[in-house]
Amino acid sequence: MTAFASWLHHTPLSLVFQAQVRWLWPLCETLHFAGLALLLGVAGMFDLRLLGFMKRVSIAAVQEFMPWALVGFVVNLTTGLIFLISEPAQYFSNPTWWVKVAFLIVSGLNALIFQLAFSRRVNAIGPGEDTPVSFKIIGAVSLAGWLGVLWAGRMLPFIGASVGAGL
Amino acid sequence: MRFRAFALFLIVGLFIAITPAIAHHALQAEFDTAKRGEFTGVLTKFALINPHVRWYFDVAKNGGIEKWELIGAGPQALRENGMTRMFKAGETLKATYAPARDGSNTGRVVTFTFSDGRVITLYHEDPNNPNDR
Amino acid sequence: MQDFLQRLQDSNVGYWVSTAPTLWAYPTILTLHTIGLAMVVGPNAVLDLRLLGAGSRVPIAELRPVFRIMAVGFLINASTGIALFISEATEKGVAWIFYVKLTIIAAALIVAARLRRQLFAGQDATRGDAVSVGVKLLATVSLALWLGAITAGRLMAYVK
Repeated sequence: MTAFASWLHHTPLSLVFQAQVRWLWPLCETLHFAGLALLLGVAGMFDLRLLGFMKRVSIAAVQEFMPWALVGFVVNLTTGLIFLISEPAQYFSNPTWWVKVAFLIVSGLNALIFQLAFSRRVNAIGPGEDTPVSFKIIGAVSLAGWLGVLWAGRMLPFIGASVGAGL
Repeated sequence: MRFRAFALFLIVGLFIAITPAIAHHALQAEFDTAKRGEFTGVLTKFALINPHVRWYFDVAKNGGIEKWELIGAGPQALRENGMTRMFKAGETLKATYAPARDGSNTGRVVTFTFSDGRVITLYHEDPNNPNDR
Repeated sequence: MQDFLQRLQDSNVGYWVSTAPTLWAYPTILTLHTIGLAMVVGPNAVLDLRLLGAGSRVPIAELRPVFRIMAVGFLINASTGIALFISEATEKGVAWIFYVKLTIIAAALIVAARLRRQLFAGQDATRGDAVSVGVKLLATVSLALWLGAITAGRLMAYVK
């Protein structure tokens, strides 16, 4: 892993990022916070509906907001990759980073499972109807998963960071 | 459509309005990590605080005393690496650091050399280099 | 002023937040501040997006709960924000960017209150979901202000 981090740190793309770090990093960090607010706001609302809150609205209607959650996710994926490529060792050497990756995988897989196996059932649930247990589980896992991503991300400078970390 | 354009204008405008020309804090943004400075001085204070640990020095220069401040990682990182009890006010240390880009008497610490010859490295550039840990 | 800020910073709260070795101090306070941010900006963004035309099948009336979530988020961020400020009072108390952040947040909250009054006070269920140009403008300004607040907050670590 350290060999990969070192190689990545010396690639042209990484060097470009490193050279522009003075404005690039604050910009990406700001967008990363904005992206998480969008993601948690929209997906959070959807998860709450899956859990059975806001029953007066049909799930399908709430689902229409989801592209905006994806916008938030893509913004964070992009800015996240910029961070990673700029200072790979800072992340790869930190166990908390891998915890964040684990939460990301759980959240992503959960969303995928919903899309593939359950989204057809969405149209069967109209306004005023409660959700089946399977939906509640998916909603709960999603909420917990994304909060876990947020928590692990914020804890990066505190748990597992090396003394050389620039965070 | 007009509103999207207006929104974009407002957002960009606000961002520009409050983005100063000079970023100041995050490691590579605040400090010139390509350069190194060095001094030998007396540690006056070691602050194991959030968000960054700080060492304060009195450095004899040009017949007078210059005040210097070196900044490190977070206190948690130092705790996890058992480095919290190494520093005592009053002792003399040699320090190498990445100087602050604004020319102030501040730096991001790279190494400390104690009077008994021990060297500790608090910054690593190349994770593949065992000497740079 | 500087004396006052120093006394704040040296207080038990200030000292504990910046030096306590436990993860429950500074790290947790900072994480809660991020969660609070998501609870304030996220739901407000959903409302703003709805007012600008997204998810139009959701009746606007159903988004009334966003203000409750925002209130909780704001309480979290006001309290964690005060704790964070106290721990670095001598530095943040004289940082212009901090006051810019507070001003932008105040403006964003005023806009949110305005939207709440216009959309949800004396709610006439049969009025429908037509959104006036004025409300669309407020929604746009709201989004811009929250992005500004987030930016100012982030720049606090960068600007002296």
